[in-house]
Amino acid sequence: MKEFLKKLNLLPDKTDLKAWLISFGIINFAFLYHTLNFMWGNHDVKFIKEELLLSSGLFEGRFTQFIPYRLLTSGQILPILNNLLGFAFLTIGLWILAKYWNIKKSLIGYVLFISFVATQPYTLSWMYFTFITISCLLWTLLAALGLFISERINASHHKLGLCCLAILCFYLTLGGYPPIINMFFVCLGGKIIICYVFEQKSLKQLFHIHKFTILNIIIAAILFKISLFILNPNNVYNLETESLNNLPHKFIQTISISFKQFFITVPFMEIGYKLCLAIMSFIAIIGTLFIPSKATKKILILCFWIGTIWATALTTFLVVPHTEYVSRIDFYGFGFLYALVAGILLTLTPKIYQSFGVIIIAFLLCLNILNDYQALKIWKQGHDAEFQILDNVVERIENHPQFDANHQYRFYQVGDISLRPNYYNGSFEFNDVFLLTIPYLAMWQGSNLLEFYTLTTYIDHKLPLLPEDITPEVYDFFMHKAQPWPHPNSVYVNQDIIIIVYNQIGLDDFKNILRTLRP
Amino acid sequence: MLELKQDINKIKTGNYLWIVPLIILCISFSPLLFNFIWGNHDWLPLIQDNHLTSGLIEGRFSQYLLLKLLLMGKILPILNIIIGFFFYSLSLYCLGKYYFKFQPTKLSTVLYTSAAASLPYIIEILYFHFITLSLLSWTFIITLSLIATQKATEKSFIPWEICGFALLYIALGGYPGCINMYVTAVCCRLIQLRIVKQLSYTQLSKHILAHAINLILALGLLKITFDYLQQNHLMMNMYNSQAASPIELIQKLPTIIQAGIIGFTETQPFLSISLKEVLSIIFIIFLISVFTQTFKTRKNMGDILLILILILGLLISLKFSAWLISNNTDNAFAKLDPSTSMVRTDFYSYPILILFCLYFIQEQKKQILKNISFICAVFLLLTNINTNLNFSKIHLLGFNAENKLLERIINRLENHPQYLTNNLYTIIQAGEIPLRPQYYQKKPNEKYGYYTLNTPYSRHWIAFEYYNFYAPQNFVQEGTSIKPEEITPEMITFLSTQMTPWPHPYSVYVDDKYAIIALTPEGKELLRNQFKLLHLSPQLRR
Repeated sequence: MKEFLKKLNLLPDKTDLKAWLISFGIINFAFLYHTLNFMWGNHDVKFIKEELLLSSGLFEGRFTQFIPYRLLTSGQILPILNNLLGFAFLTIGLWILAKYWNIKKSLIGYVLFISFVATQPYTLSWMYFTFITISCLLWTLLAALGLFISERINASHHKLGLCCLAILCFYLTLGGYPPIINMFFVCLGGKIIICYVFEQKSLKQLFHIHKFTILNIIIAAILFKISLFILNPNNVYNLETESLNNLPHKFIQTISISFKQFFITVPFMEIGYKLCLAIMSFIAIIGTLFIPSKATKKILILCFWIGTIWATALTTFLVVPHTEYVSRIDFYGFGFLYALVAGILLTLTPKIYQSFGVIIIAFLLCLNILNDYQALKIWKQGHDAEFQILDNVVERIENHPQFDANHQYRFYQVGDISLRPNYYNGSFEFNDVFLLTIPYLAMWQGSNLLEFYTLTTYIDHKLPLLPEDITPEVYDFFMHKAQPWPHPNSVYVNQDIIIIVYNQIGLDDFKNILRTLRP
Repeated sequence: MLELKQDINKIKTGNYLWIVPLIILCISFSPLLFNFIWGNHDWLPLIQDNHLTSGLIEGRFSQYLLLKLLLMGKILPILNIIIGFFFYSLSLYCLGKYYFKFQPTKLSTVLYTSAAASLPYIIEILYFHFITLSLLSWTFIITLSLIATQKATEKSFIPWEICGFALLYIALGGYPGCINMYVTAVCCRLIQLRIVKQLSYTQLSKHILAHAINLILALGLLKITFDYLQQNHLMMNMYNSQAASPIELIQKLPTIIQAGIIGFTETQPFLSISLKEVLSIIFIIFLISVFTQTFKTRKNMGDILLILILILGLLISLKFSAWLISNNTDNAFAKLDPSTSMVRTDFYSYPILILFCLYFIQEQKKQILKNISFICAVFLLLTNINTNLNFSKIHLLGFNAENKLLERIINRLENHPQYLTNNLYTIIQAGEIPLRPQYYQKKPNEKYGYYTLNTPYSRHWIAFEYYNFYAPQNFVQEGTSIKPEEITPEMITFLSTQMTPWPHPYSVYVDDKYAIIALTPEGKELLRNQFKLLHLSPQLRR
């Protein structure tokens, strides 16, 4: 193993180990409040109580998503360890990326690079859902490893073995979360820029070195598609890909989207912060353009940059659902573009760039930590507030004169309540639901949530509301008397059903459903 | 000054390694460290300080000694557990280095001590906050006692022997179950001395004598102390402090040896089959190593017999406390939490044995055995961290769920039309609801798990402790019985006809003296039957 790592140039030396340790400490500090307060998202409710199975992600085609959980925690979502393992993988993944990009090696440079990239608020989006935190942070490690190995294939005698290993890395990550493809191409684009600018490689040489990377990614993508075909997952929204006819139009659209990302603000990434990142990116890009003397080379570098920036929106280009400005997608895309500019600044000559890089990255690292803590404070407040409402709802149901704990009820939650935004006073242009607005008390999780802390199980989870449940009395109640929580008429209980009304929009929708059932 | 310098140099050469198991323990139980969760006996001790005499009722005269010395008798979040972990990890480290005198590599020291320290036997110790610190710290006191006794065999017999005896006596006075650690460690050491160090019978008997004197003296004095406390009505004659008679000891011997072996296979909540399999593999490799070496170096029957006796002694030592105490199968706790399967007493034996086995195998020549045990230790460590975190998560969720239920019950009481704000009630809580099992994926064939999983955070007989805990003023008084002269017609109607389990509207009854809460169907039936007896008994009615 040691020899293998040595051959791959992946055997960490003392500086690397120190960089790991310090960066891991900084990352953990940035998200400490989350690590110490066990909070879980609305997809996690059932999994927290039970366990994750290998097959849990199959319905949406994520066939490798829970392999890390089964191997590392026996399928349990464990407080503390969930974050610790995830951050450990992210730290090592970013270290491999630093080596892949040949970022100038120094303790401070590596520490700043790894810590800055890992603490960007994009990472928060993988912490809302605890059931995928470990996997989705591990994918960064595997993707970086796949890229690193692919680059080494050309100079190695064991081409087939390394190809298989790289394909496996890409395939596992695609099977776990397909938008990782953004990271493949952003990092590859970054590598090409670095090779062209710093190592003075010709286009032919670049193709010669990186042909295996492209080949491996394509083979992994084909295998991924074949796997999906065999597994035949449900026709869920996140598997819808664009038709070939739409791609030219989408191409133009995604160019605009990819560049807008520099300035579009989302929760916890406000305009000042985004401007700092944009300035850092601009200086890095300009810095690379100054290195070659020939104009053609400068134009080529610019093209590489445009291509890399466009690759940050690759998923948006390929799929039907709107994935632009979504932090969990951008974690694998635009987040790595910022990583690239940080890496380039730490490597650029003259030294003034490097000094500037150290200062601005250190400053941005502080901003990252501030943003993360602000987000986590708001998450905790929102989490507590929403669960307090859940407690009150449970109490209201238990105290209802019609309620019998020994009975099995069909349950429906009308609307939901999202309280995190109540504690946030920042401004943003695009609302990223995962960072702020998605509720803990999601409508579709109502039955699991209701029974999370109760002593008896009184919800029939197999049957939703039936048309015959909408008796004239029920119809009349919801058309004329029902009001959102905390009104006394927000909870309805009869001998068969329990319905909770959380908000007016949900109630209006429910009334429309009732009208179709009893016109 | 020179000594201090030498000490610092010693730390530099590896004595700091005990910090690693401490860190691993802290990470494994971090949800408990950073979320203040307490057991069902802790409600009152959390508010009031623990006095030195608080443990006398069950003969535990030194139970609060360390808590009083280190934390002024207070149960403090983080500190309570972390100090306990500190002493526990230090004790295992010292045991390996200064008692067994192994000389492993740094990696082996870290790995083996961490794997043994994090074994999930510790989870039961962490349920009750009021004894966590002391139960964990006795391991260190016993280690000191063992080291002192060993010193007695080398020089200054009497002073070191007295020192060893005094330390053992103090530890046993805090929790007699920790005797297992002493006996297990001694058995391990004797095997090591005979097989590895190849000590002669005379030298070996010197060691046996030194340890046996201490043990007999400490146990004898403990018995005298118990008798004295009982004679002065300071101690109750409880199920867990009754010693077995000599005949009973002989009768129980096969059962205890069997229990020692079953301990390697019997699964309990959080002590899964995979964990037990790894423990068994380590123990089997250890036995193979012992017998291989015995046959290699000595071939006479006497030696083989001695090793067999020591192995049998080792198996007895694993359940030594269960062997010493009298069988009291009538007691409800004994059925739910039998002494031969008690996780908290196993905590004092199995981690010691596993630590010894791992070190012992590491010093063998056969590389294959060393490799297997190394892999087992790695696997053990990872499994332990997972299990401990899972325990912590379930502890946290169960505690929250039961507290939420408690809040709803109190709300119902406070909103009851008969409830008077300034009144003092006797609460009759019919039934208990442990909610931790709701969050645990029970595996087939798992037995017991009384304190690790199934006990509730609120016990009906100390209802006043937790109902008053968050109240602005005490509204519940001590006591759980209904006085016959205070039975009202409304109470009769409620108890005999209306009472329905929680959360039914008729699950709560309030008058000006009593609040009755029917929590479970079983509790309701029990209360109804008790009430019938009480109400119909002419003597009581008079």
